[in-house]
Amino acid sequence: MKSLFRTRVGMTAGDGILMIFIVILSATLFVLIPRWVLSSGKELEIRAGDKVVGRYSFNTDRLIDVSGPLGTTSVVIKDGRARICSSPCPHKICRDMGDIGLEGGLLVCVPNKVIVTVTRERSDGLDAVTR
Amino acid sequence: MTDRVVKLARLALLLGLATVIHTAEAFLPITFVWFRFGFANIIGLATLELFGFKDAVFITLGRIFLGSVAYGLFGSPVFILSLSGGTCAILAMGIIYSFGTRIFSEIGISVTGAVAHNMAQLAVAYFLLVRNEGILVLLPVLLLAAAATGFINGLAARFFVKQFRSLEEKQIHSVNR
Repeated sequence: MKSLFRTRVGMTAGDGILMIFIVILSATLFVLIPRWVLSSGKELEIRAGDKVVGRYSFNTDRLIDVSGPLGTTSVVIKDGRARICSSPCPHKICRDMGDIGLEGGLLVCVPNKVIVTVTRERSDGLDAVTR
Repeated sequence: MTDRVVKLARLALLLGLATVIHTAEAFLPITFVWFRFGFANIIGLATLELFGFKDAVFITLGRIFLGSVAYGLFGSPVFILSLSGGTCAILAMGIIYSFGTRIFSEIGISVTGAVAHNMAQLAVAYFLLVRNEGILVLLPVLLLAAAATGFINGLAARFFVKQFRSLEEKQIHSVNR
């Protein structure tokens, strides 16, 4: 047991450099990562059921077809606004929900399980906006 | 022949020890310990020094399989996380150890292993489980935790190896006498 207590509690130069490097790296990442994660530009996120179909920029006009259990729901992005332009659901509530843009919002077609949201990352320093 | 039997017995003991530590650590209350200390890696690192890389890989993989069977999470996401983390940790430690203990002592090797473990887990968690950039915020926290636990485990492994070797010497002396 004596030999155990006589073991040197020393670090080599390599150990010290490694530890200092890790501490500096994590301190840097503490500052950089939240900024990077939260500042990614806002995009339109389309989900079908549980899975994300894709994320699309508001800058390019395009038509996205999403397939759900009832058929194909079409989402259109035009002039920085997104809306559901056609859906096989019976009441067409989603089509009448209007459009959403960079300010955020939600378009849902419940029967066809399509959810259109704006990714929630914000770069303006606000955590969330309620409306 | 006897050398091989002795080695086999010792490896079996190390594997048993590693499995017990691995399993026991899973029962630590998560309210106090939200990250794992990775004490089982002490045995992995000690095996690396005492018996070499191949046996260390065997011990690490063995304890992950046996440990997950013991607490009933074999094949679950927890198991996948601990498998990926353990594999990357032992690979990284093997590479660092091949530079020789003059540059990096047990502490350096252990810290490298802990960092590799946490980074691998985070990568697997991101690509397989969560798929949200939000968890990357954990990265610096995990790095710091890895440095701290790696330091502790490295010291422990140093004591373990030292004690193991001195016991081995005593045994050889008594046999010769």
